[in-house]
Amino acid sequence: MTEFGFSIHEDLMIDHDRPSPAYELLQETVPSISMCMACGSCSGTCISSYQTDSGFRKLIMFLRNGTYDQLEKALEYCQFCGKCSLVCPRGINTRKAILEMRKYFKVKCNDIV
Amino acid sequence: MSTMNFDCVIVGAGPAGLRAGNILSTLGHEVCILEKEKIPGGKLNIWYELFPHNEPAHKILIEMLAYNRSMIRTSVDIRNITRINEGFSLKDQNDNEYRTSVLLLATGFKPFEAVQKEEYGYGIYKNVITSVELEEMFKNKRVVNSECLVPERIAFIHCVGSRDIKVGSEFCSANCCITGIKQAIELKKMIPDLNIYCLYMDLRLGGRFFEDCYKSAQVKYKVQFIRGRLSETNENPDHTLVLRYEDTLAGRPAKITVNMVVLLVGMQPDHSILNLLPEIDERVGTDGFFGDGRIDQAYQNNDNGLFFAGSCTGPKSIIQSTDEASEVAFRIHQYLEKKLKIEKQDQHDRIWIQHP
Repeated sequence: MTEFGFSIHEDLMIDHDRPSPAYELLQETVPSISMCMACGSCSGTCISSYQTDSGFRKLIMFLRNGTYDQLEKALEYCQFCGKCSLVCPRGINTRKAILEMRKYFKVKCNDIV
Repeated sequence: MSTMNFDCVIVGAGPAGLRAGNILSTLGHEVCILEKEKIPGGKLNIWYELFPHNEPAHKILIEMLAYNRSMIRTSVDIRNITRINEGFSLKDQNDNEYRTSVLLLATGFKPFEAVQKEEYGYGIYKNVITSVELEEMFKNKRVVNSECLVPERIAFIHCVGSRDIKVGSEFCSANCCITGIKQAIELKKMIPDLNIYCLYMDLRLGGRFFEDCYKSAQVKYKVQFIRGRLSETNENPDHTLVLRYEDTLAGRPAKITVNMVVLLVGMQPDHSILNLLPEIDERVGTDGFFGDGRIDQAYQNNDNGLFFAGSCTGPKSIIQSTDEASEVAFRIHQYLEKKLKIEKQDQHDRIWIQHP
């Protein structure tokens, strides 16, 4: 089969009109996540960010923007070392937030049954 | 037509002018405050509530006027300013002459004219308004869009006419960030179901308790902050607006549909008085505001009787304006005292010469 023409790209446009029910729910269960000001100290210190280009800031970003595919993938990388909560200048309960997110998206990892 | 003599004439009855007038008249100087509008108060008249504690602006103004002991003349359009023997002579539209030894300019700022940012759609789409117009709606206690409907989604655009070389203002206006957050909170209090989005580049919340406002807007009022500067506004047939920008945190283009867009306009220098007294020219900074903004006292103690206070010397909040006005009032007091002393000394000298 001859390959020709254009392949169809995934639309990269973020649609902020699309509601993010997960974010709204998480704002209730972990109110401190609203305080994130995207400083990035969490991603800077994250032990899995070196290999995975992930970090807590990105989790919040995916959650706010409603890009759940990326979020579910990124959620698997967390090893719960807790360094992000240590450095967060706004005192966000990152551990609880990640646990709640994993629960919501039913992400199965070795440390959660 | 009449001629009046004063120790100090203040141009502008805004927060700075009123505070300086209050202090100078308390110190025993003859003060006259000239205001071009029909009522005193300056920009206090265009705000509904003031950051960071949401105090009503009219209450602050009433307090300021209650303490005022100096003469306030409103609806004065100054036509001419000249220097006369170590003082100034001002003439208004009715040919009244105000003679004074010190002239304090507290002419304030003017809001940025948002039509200059054509891509934001102000003046083209009816549902694009400025923060000043939103305050007007707050005053009328009725926030509606052009179809008289209560909006469901509102976007605030930060930095309109600030940090923008294309419109000739490269400085940060310092107060629009907190104004936007204050207005978002006020809106949310008025319309609890409203979705509010703030499109910002960075939030410059340098004042006391400003960060608290930001936090409560995030957590309590659930205002969404999106990092990215607005690129263009387009209108749908149903008069909703589509905004295009980049979500710079995600590094991806983004769009949002809203019922109303509020442009947080910056503060611009008001140059209307420049034509009247060309010598101010020498003391206009590169950003267009009066004065030199130096800490150095040697630069501030000018001996030509011309002083500036308030937001005509740079973007300032009301607290900063009144603080500066108090400081300038004290410098004016020193200047007048020194002048009086010299005059007395001169008289004394003359007497001594006459009776050897």
